[in-house]
Amino acid sequence: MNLTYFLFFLFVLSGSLSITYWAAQREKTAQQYYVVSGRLTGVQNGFAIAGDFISAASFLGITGAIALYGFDSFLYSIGFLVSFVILTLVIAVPVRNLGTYTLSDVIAARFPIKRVRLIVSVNTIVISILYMIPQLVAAGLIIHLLLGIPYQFAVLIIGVLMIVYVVFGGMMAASWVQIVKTALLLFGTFLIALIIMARFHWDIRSLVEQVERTSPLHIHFFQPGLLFDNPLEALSLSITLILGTAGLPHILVRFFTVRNALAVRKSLITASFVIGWFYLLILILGFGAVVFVDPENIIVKDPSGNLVAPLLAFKLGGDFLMAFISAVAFSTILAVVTGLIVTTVTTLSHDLYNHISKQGEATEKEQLVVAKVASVFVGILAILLSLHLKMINVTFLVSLTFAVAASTNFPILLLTIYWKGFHSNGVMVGIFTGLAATVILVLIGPNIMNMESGWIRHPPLFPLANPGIVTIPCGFIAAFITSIVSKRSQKEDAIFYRIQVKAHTGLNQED
Amino acid sequence: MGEDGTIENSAIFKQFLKSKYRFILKMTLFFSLAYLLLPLCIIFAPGWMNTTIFGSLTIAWFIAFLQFPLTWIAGIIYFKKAKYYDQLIRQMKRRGNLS
Repeated sequence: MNLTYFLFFLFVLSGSLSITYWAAQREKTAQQYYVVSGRLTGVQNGFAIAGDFISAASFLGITGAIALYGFDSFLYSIGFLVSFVILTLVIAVPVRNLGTYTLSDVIAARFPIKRVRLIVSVNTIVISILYMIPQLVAAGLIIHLLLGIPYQFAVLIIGVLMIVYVVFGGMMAASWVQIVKTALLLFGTFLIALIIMARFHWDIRSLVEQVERTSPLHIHFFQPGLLFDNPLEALSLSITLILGTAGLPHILVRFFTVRNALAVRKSLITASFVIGWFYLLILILGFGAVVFVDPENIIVKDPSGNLVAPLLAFKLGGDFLMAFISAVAFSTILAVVTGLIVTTVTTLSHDLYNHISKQGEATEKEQLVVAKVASVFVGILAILLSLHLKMINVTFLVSLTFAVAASTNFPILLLTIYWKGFHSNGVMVGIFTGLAATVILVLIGPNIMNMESGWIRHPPLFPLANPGIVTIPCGFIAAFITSIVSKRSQKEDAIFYRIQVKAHTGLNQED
Repeated sequence: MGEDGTIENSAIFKQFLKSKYRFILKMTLFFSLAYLLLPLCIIFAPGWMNTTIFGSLTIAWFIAFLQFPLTWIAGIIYFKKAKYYDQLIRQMKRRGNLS
């Protein structure tokens, strides 16, 4: 086991454990545990959002994908970035104004029915766990590669760490680990980008020319079509990404950690600048990887391309830089998974336990206990799933998660906030349809039904790997039709007007 | 305030909401179309998209890079407009009896 690598990992570990300890000292109430009592500043939360959002799939996955497939991979970066425009304009502030701790709170503000809370809560858990698995798989692979520990042990260690952070540190630890990780990530990628540009004497043209020369694809590297042979795929992916972020529960609950709508906006602007800057940097890293880490070499050793970034660091700065980048990747994963577990556990404790099972009568102490116990179980579940899914393609799972979020949460959020005619039945049917449509189309799509490498050896029945372009309208239409045929009363209209006021102004009316 | 004393029926709020909806709609349409330009051009004008303009970088790359400043500008425009709306909200709050 290489000492440098081990030391860096130890550094990340001790840093994050210190943050957790510090957070644990300060968190005594459920409100603090769930949402830091709304005391993060706009900029801090912006960094945390960026931290929550930029997962291993972005950092490792996209860098590798750009090195191997050029232009099409950049579409992921762009989709992820522009999704913040939709989130900001349409969803963010209303969500913050309507809810307190979870996404279910937001929908239940208009439809205070147990069934509604239940299904939104379950959907939150499903999406969060789907997002968690690729992170743990990536972490296991990195640790296995660098420290020589068997994959299973690596996943186990990380899973246990995660549980510790969440049980003791809650949302505060999650937030600060994310903030620190974002700073480290920006610094690390900036450093490598600088080294690359310096090697090319700051001449972008020369870098681009060298990429064209070195890549086995030459000019085609810069053209669309390498990842998505069917241009409809690119369209479907683009739509899914731009709408998906607005449906990701772990991002949405971050808006509850700040004081007011102004802070939410500051967070969003900060996050979009950080994220945008980051994606520009990893474009340079992707190009650099083509030049310094031979792409043909990559495909032989690691066809998924997930390890391109550390390999690039090694070529540019030896063991030290590779250890640093790997530690940064590791902290990225820790941060995202911690945030996901906190989100999952908050909804389990606040929605399922407190509201549904205990009619809102559970004491603070009971809720905290349930949250912490739930963390253990959720952690164990995530570990078990990751152990079994070692071979899964990380980017595939993340795309799937975005597709589910865009087809379930986005339609119902939009309709809840803006459409008078929306009915609680629409929430149920909408989520169920969006989820079912996505899962079914993925199961019969080219990711699973693949003659060469799929789980089912059969030509795909559905042509697109990313079903968003079909499933998102399905979610909308299902919610819409159900609402039209459901009986509504004047009382519900009155509730909607009240919700409108609250969502757009933050003002609560007392009669 | 509206005749029945509620915010939702007051003239200020109705105007505020109309203005806000119009703003959000315009912004969302514009920036979504600017973004969808990319996949749509890939489908309908692949040849044009592959015209090189800077070394091996093509028009496709130009549209792609354009999304970055577009996103940031969208955020800034929204932020500034929201400050104006915040003023209106403060007015509504003062005139009514609410939290």
